Amino acid sequence: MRVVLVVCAQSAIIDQQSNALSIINIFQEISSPSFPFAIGGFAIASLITREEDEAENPTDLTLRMHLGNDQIMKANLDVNFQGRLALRHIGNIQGMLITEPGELVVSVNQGTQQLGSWSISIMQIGQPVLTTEATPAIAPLQ
Amino acid sequence: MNSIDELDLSEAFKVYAISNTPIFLLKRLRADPATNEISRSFSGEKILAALNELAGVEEKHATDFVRPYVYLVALSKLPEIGYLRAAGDINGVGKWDWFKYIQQVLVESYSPVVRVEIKPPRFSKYTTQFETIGEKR
Repeated sequence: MRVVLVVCAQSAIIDQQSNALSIINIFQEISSPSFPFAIGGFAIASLITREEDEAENPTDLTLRMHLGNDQIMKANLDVNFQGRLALRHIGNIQGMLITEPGELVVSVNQGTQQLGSWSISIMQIGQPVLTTEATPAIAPLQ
Repeated sequence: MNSIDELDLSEAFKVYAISNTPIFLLKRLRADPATNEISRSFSGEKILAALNELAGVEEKHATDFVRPYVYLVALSKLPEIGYLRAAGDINGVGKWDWFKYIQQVLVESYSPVVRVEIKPPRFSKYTTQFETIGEKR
């Protein structure tokens, strides 16, 4: 089993006409002045291939997500190659919450072996500076 | 839409009328809204049953000539390849000149797509930290 591609983006779509996979707005670095914050659309697109002698329904494929050193998500990849040697897998997460800066790593694994991964740098940027202006109050003339 | 026969195939027929190669017909039908509509609205069993029925009757209307190709392309848009493979085994499809060829092209170029909704990571509202589930890296 081989993972040719695993990438995180705002959305991943399959064109009805050409059956081609398109990945829109790839996440490489995400900055926020405050935490936690939410990402509306979060898609994980993977292109997985197999050898002819490998199983069509592998049961030990998992999708994992780490933030820093902590594993925050683990999901089984229920895939069926249907006689083909490659397949596209699109996982959508609605309302992805990011709680702290760090490195967010999404990986596709078979058993304990990591087949492919995608890293996103989560960075904290400076808080917006509030500028104020004061003018002396002038008493109205009597 | 209750019946698969009710779908308007007039645009698909126009494409069929000017098609000089099966690949041209296939490309244009992939973009035809009728194929998308059928694949969205009907199950593989229903489309296959409609193809079986068509294979056993004479064409009455002009659109009946393009109908099997529309159903075939619709089958290729389903998440399972089994129905598309089964379409090639229907008795009588030989009367449609390009059917077998297009079916083979669709089977050979089929690439499965798995779409799933994944639950977002669990979040503890009290600590503003993700709940760690399992092993560390």
